[in-house]
Amino acid sequence: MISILYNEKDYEAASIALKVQSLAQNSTSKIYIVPKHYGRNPDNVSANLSKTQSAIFIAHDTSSIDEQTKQELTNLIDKSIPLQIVIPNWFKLRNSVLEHYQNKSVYEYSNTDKSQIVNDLAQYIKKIPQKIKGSSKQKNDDIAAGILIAGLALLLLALATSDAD
Amino acid sequence: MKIILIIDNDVAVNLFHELFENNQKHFQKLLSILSTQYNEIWIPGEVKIEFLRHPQLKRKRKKILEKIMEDYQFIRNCPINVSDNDIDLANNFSDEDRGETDAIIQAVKAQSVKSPTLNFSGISLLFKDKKAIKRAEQRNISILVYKDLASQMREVGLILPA
Repeated sequence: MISILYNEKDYEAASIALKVQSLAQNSTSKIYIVPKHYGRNPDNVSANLSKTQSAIFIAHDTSSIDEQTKQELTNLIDKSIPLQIVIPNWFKLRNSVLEHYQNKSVYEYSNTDKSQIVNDLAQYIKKIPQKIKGSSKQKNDDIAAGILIAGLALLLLALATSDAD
Repeated sequence: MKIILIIDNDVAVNLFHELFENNQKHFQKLLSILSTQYNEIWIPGEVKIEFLRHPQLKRKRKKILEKIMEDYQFIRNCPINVSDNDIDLANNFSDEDRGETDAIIQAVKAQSVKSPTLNFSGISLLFKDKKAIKRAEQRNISILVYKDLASQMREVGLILPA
């Protein structure tokens, strides 16, 4: 599941999130928009965030992260969830919860071409399942390589032992 | 492959008359969101008739509708032909709710169209009236309930007329 987060009262960010969700509806991953203004149920938000494999934080009309969103982002950071941050170039990332987070990529925009942001994000979301698949494949490949090396080492050890005999 | 939203008269009054007249900025924002979800918004012929039937507001509504259809070209008249006879039969020859009936028949016909020029991957009805919603559900047509759309829009800061 991909979660999209934004600050409370950032209605433009909410609108971008909704459009991105519509454009990326054919993506294989479910997209969850964390509600901030209407129909928010904290238990539901927690349950959905716990299932999140990748997240996007969008800001448009706000310059820093509010307390509620900070809490939600902290939950994701604690689980090392990959985070795409889409913020205007004047957004205060310094001293925020995101400043030192390693598993993030930042898309800073300077203009207000919202349709460009929406399209870029929709494309990004369509590629996320491959990335998740790719990273798990990489992990599996690493494990397989580890097993192979261990096997070879055991074989060499066995040969060396038999030679010594 | 197109995704279509067909609207009913109650919705046309709320969106095209009330929202457009009171807050064009919000109307524009709503349509910019709907345009990412649907390729076209259709107005059935009978819905248009009902919308324009109001004795005092007929002229005003005609102007509004013309302006909206000129500015937002993905809002258009239904391209599928539904005869009066089809509507009469489906409506048990009642003059009530002819707009809803037209919208439902449009949706049913559009779903069954197999033509290279008219190819639809999804047809939804945007209805407000409970009875109409039930009728459409009985025909297995996808429904976007106006109340749900209004809730969705509150999240992005838009208040749709009740």
